[in-house]
Amino acid sequence: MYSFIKPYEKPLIGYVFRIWFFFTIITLIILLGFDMILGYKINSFEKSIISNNKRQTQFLIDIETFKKKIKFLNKERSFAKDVETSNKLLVESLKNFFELIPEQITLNKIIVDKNSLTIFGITPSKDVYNLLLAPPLKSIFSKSVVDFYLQDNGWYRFVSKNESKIVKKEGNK
Amino acid sequence: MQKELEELNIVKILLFVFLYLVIIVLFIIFYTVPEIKTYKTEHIRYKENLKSYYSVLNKHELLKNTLESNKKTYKELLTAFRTPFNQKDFISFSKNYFKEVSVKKTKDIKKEDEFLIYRYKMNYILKDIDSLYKFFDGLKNYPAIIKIDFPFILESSSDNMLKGKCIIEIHESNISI
Repeated sequence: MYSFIKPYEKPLIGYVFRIWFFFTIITLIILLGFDMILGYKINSFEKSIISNNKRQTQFLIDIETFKKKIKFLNKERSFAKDVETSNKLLVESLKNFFELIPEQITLNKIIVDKNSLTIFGITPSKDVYNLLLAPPLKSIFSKSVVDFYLQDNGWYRFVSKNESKIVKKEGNK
Repeated sequence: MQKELEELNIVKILLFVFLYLVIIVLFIIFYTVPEIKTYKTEHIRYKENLKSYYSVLNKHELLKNTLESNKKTYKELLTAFRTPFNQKDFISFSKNYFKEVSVKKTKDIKKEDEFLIYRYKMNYILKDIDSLYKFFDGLKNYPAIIKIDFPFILESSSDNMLKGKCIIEIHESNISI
């Protein structure tokens, strides 16, 4: 058969197609790489979020524990302070009480209770007690009762019972 | 090749370029864009999570430091609340102020919230009332939380001494800090 052109070798896949295919594949590889990086980052975010959430939950548990401990420590401080104040009030009450006792009166025994004070003592006369000790006691306590017992030497033993709702206030003076 | 290049026509090239663009655009639309959207969403979620995480972490550290600092500041107080009461040691301490001391545990144990309160009967003999005041002062530094409770009895004895009786309350805590 006659041909107007010289026969030449025709490749099954042309050069243009090869170039097109090469660039298409390269571009797709670049895009896939980019997507893979994004996928890796997304995965990394998810892992971080899960890990952070786990730690956050533990932190929240710790926070509650810390809060409870701080609260309890403050409670202990307050408790210790109350104890110290109570002891201080008692000693101050005693100091103040002994300052009230006139020289003529001798004390034998005192019983201090939460709301009462019982005094056992000796006085040269009822008047000494009534003039020197009774008034300050009456000013402190809401109820003050005294019993006198005459002794052989003419002096009086006395038992003074004093009651108040606020014995401790004596120490605040 | 020479021959093929010679045969190149613009329509064919445009067709390839068009096909290339179509493939790439479709890939971007159906694969890359959703991935970018997911990334953006996850990034926002991550940032919010990080913000919340650091907020909790800061609070955690703040409270932890506060607790540690309080524990250092009130070390003696914490120890006092948690050291079991040593009767012998207390008697030895009291003898610095009193001539004679005896302490006896009562069966009366009170429980107030997280505190245990043990009660002891204390009898003592002292030379003068100042010793009692000094004892009260000394109690502040004794490594236990001790409250002097009522009834508080003080009486003079025949040998020119003072005899005293009182209840002491030992406060212990059963919570560890």
